Amino acid sequence: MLMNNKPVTICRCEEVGNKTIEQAIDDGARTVDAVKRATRAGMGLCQGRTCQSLVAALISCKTGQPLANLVPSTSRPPFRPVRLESLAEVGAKLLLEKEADKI
Amino acid sequence: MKKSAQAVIIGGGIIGCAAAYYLAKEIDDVILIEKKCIAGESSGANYGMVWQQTRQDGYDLAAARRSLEIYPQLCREVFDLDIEYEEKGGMTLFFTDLQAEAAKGYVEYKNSLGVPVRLLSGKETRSLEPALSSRVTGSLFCAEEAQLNPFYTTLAFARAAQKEGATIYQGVEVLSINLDRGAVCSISTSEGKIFTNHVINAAGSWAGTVGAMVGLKVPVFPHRLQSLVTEQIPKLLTRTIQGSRIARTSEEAAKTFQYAYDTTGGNRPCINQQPPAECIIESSLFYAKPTVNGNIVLGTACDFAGYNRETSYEALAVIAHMAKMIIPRLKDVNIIRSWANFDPWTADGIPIVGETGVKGFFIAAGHGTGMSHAPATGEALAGLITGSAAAIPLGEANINRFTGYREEC
Ligand SMILES: Cc1cc2nc3c(=O)[nH]c(=O)nc-3n(C[C@H](O)[C@H](O)[C@H](O)COP(=O)(O)OP(=O)(O)OC[C@H]3O[C@@H](n4cnc5c(N)ncnc54)[C@H](O)[C@@H]3O)c2cc1C
Ligand code: FES
Repeated sequence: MLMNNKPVTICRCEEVGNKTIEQAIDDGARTVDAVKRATRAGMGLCQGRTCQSLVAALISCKTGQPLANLVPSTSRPPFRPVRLESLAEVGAKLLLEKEADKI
Repeated sequence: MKKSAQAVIIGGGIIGCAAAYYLAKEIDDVILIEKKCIAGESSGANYGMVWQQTRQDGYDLAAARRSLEIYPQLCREVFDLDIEYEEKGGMTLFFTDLQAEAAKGYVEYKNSLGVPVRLLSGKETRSLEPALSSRVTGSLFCAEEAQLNPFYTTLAFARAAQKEGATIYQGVEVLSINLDRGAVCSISTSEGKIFTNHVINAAGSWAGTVGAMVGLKVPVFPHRLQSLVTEQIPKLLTRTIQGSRIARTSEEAAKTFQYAYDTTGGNRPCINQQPPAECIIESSLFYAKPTVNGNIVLGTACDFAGYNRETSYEALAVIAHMAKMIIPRLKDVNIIRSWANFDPWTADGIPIVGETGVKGFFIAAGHGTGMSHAPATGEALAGLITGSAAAIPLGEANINRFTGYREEC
């Protein structure tokens, strides 16, 4: 994938290219999570489902760490994007049950 | 790994990185050791508010005001990275007329401390933030407050420290601290031993564990805060806003603007004091932070759950409900992620900064608002260690304010 030195997009959601990610690795990022924090790769709509294995491969490639050690960054709920309103309805009910007076 | 250093800082959050920068300017051989990665905990997971209106009179406010003074200069002269520092002012919303009444006294008090906070009507508030609902009856606005990208800011401090000659090890854990006749002489890490006479405990919510390595109780506890983030949307908010708890009686209204978790009742806190039991629904304020990328970060739900970093459906639902009530247009927006992290907590809401009964062992931890304190903390701590004049006095933040501290050492 990086044979011909042409820049490629690694994270499509956040439009992060391999150069940016390689720079982050050069600056000391050694895990998928560290790269995510430094470059936003993995923070997009798909939450890294598309790009994280590529990020792991890049780290492995540049640092020599075995790919198996590069556990993917923790995936956090919601596992699919969810409309705020559907969560809010649950919240309103909970507050009613607890008679909590909250805006 | 290096075998010796003049000073070793434990923790690569904003406090450790700021301390590393200020120390490395003054002395050679500064080492920072971070168990995970730079800004891997609280310092990479917060809202980036640099505020003064919510700070307590004394050390807390002095550190925030000093930091507001230093940040612009750091951005101009030191940082080689854009930390997205924006002086947009901070806004605290309220929702009843009783609160508007209580806010008047609060503004007078804050102004007497030199905090330029102003009272805005509901209409004035919405002219600044048109997306806010008509439930907002007014706000406290302080123009001299800023917001920043917490991750980039921590990284910028780390890079500035390295430029000044500091060495940073990530993925290395400090396991023990060794004393010789009561004074720090070396530390043992997962990668080997380093000889040093100065150790700075900047381990945030883990400061207690590090304190125990020299036999000290350091009463800092992890306060779990849960947050949500939306997809990227066209601009909806200009600045970070804070909500308040709704108040329907004058007694409640009078408490609207008490921020500190002061569980001490105005007394000196006790070294053995534990965090109170707390219900997520009762205790948490609302926050909304527009990021430069167009996502909006929403919070918060707070509780004490040890080091459990899971999010709960209940907490996220309550945050979403508050968000919809305060910013109605958010209702159709997608939530893409949630997370929980720990805000270092102390019984009186003031961090613990300064020297201790163990020679060579310093603490800079327990910051509930470390983004607002870091530059001032780093500067003052470096001054303390190198013996130069202090910009802000540290006395009030020393661990010896806790009753029972002396018996422990
Ligand atoms: C949701 C949320 C929102 C917030 N919003 C704001 C805000 O808007 N403004 C504000 O000013 N503050 C805010 N805060 C508070 C702010 O995040 C903290 O005050 C600040 O990050 C604390 O920094 P720290 O360096 O002390 O701790 P941390 O960032 O937690 O760093 C401590 C580091 O020490 C490391 N460590 C621990 N033990 C060891 C060991 N044995 N060896 C090596 N390393 C070790 C950890 O891995 C960690 O990286 C918020 C906090 C949260 C959770
Ligand atoms: S491709 Fe990276 S977050 Fe979707």
